[in-house]
Amino acid sequence: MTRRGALRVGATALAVGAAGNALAACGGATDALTTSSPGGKPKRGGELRVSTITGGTAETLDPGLVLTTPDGLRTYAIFDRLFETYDDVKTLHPGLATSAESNKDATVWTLHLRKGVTWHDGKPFGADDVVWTINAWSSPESYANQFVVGLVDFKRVRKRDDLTVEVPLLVPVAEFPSLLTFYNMGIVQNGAGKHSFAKPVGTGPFKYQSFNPGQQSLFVANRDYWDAPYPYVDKLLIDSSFTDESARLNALLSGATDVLSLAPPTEAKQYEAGGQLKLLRSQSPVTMIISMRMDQGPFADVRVRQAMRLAADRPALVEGALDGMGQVANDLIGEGCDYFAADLVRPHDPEKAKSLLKEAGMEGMSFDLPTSNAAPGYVESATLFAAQAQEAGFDIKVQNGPAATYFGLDYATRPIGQDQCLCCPSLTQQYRTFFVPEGAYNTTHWGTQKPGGKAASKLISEAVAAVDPKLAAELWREVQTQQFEEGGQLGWGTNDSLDLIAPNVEGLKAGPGPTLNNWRLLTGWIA
Amino acid sequence: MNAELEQDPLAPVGVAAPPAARVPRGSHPVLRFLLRRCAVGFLTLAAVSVILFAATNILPGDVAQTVLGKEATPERVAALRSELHLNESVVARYGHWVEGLVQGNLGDSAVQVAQNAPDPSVGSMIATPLVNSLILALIASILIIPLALVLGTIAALRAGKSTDYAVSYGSLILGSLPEFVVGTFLILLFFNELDLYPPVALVPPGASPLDNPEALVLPLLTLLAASLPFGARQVRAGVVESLKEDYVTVARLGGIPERRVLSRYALRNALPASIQAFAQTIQYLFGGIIVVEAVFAYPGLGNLLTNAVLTRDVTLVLAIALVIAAVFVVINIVADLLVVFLVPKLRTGLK
Repeated sequence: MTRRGALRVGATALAVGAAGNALAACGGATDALTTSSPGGKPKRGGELRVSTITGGTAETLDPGLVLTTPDGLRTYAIFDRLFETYDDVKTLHPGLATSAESNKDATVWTLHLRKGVTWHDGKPFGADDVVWTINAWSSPESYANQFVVGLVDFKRVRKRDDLTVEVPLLVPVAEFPSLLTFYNMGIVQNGAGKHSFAKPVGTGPFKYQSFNPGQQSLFVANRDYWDAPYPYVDKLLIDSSFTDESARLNALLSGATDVLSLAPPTEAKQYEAGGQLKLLRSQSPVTMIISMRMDQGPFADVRVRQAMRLAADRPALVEGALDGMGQVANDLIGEGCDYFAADLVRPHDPEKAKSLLKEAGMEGMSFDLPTSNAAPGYVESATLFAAQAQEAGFDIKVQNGPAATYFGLDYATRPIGQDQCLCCPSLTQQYRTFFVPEGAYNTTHWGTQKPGGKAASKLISEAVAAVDPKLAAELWREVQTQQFEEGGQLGWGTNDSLDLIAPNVEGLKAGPGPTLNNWRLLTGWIA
Repeated sequence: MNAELEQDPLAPVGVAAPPAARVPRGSHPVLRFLLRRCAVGFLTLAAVSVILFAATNILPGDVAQTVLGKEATPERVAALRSELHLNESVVARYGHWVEGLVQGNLGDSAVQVAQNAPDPSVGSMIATPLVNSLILALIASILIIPLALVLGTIAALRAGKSTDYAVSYGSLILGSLPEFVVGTFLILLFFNELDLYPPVALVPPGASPLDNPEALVLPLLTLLAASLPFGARQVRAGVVESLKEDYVTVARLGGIPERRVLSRYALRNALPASIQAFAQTIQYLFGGIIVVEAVFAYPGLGNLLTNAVLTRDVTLVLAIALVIAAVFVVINIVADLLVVFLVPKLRTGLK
């Protein structure tokens, strides 16, 4: 069943790594705050060594099973997607597909594939590979499944010619190509099964050389890469043996590694001024969320949910829980996407919150807020919010539990919990992940609330289907207004994307994606 | 731990009583002693395996849930649990595990199975880290043994004097500091301040830790700081005991020069006790290695164990813990054998 993949990435990665290492988020916002200074003309050769907190023995090279940050780094080195996102949240750059167009109502999509691409084993890339990969997404075992199930009519996906694939949909999706950019959507070779990923063959910038889960892995440059002159370096080493953040920082300081992927906010702050290390920092749309269940329980009353949202002092949460390495959010997810309603701003108004609670007959409402260090800032923000909400008359008891089970079986059923959204290029992807009844991350149970659930779901489907930009803008506005006024997500801030690199590393950029401008190691070079 | 030569680790160490001579005659007595110790070792490991298995079953959150994370719909958890035989009773699962062990198969990593990995066998995962950890332990032991002997003996000979206090209190303080504190301090001093040694001990794929000996300096110093005090205190206790023995007094009264009294009478007889002390020190060292590997990102067994616990990879945790237990048992047997060879009284007592 279902489409739960995406978030789980963040979740589990975090559960696994000491300091939390979410792949999770997708990309977001706007301009990079800092980028690596251009160091002259790119140079070829050398080895780029990247360190990440371990994903343990769960690490994999199968793009359909990508789970942790090291998985993301490795599969982005080996595989390409049909479209890529980097530099900003919403722009789709041609990948293995050069363009896509649909029929008038966006129910049949035609993908035009790149000519002259070869696999690492020398075979030519073509439509058969893409048809095979898309069909692999029909299995719920693949985490790509969640983004396309119920949308793609898998049985009718067909090759039109060697470089053209036709993808019929079950429902109209105006921004369908935006769903093909995600890290679980790496294109694999025709016939690739689970045993193919011991020695994976991709089309990507680096070729597989060696891999041991939870340890170091080695890749060599693919000198026939279609996106020349990339990659610059000859060798890529990804070291995911680190269980300890300070060991990782020491490794970077001593020159034993070149890149620290996903830096904790405190360390990023320490080296913000530059000098010994360079900080890559960018805003991102990955939103920190307190998620309230709407269809039943204490948060079924919209007045209680709005009171919670009004009780949050967002700047203080960003400062206190994220070390200031983030931006204030206003409960809506999808910043940086087309049609995002950036003008809806939530005030901090404990007085109004108090009167709403009173109106709802829930004065002095008391409940448990489960948290865990499953991601950086979870425990800190839960504790801080509980203190803030006192002013509005809430009595919140923070329950700190083990990270390993935080996203366990009660994830989708508990009345309240913490979450993060992903970095996605379209509202279509964000809303289909979080706000459709069959979405596995629909922790607010949007669409099943009474009254109005059915109508709310229908509205989202209409917005997803809207081909005409003017109509789409209207419908997405309506969807977001409803979310802002009735929804169960308290999204208080976004995490900046943070990486630290050695001073002699050039070419790597900050971007809204989870790390290194959406895992773009191919642009890096050693000065 | 040490069935036949048991002692309180902190009490002064004496020579243990000879083992009961119930083994039938025919083979060499030392060989029979060895066989008996091995049998006891196996029993110990069997007991350890039961405890380990029980303990890993108490850990909150099973591997199916941890690996699947938010993907953990009840259906998928159930499917994965049945694939990993988690539905069977604890006793049945223990049976499967032991059956594999007897055939020399440490099992498949639960997480790797859950991830559809092509080669989930635990054996291939732990081989290199085990060698890496043994290298670290071996070098540390080679350094600790002579140092502990010298320091312990000096302290014992100067018992009650300022040198003794310096060694004893110094080692007490150093030994009470956790490894990660010592390690962090050494990094601050030798890397951040002096820039002499690297603060991490990464080993590139295919390389050996010995290729870059400089990187091993700080991990070894940390292990030394943690284990040397323990070893030195044990040696001191042994030497102090033997200095009180009648034969030392008699030798001194007989006018034998003090240096000779020490080397031939006191130290020689303190040696068996010291060997036991070293066995314990090395075992203690293994505990420290797990922490030290995390601090210095050294790719050994401890690092792998940390990973395995974080992902609830039960089979991998079991395999590593059992391997470490086996190392403990082997160290004990070797120490017992050495003692038997060094003490004629024990050797002749073996019938």
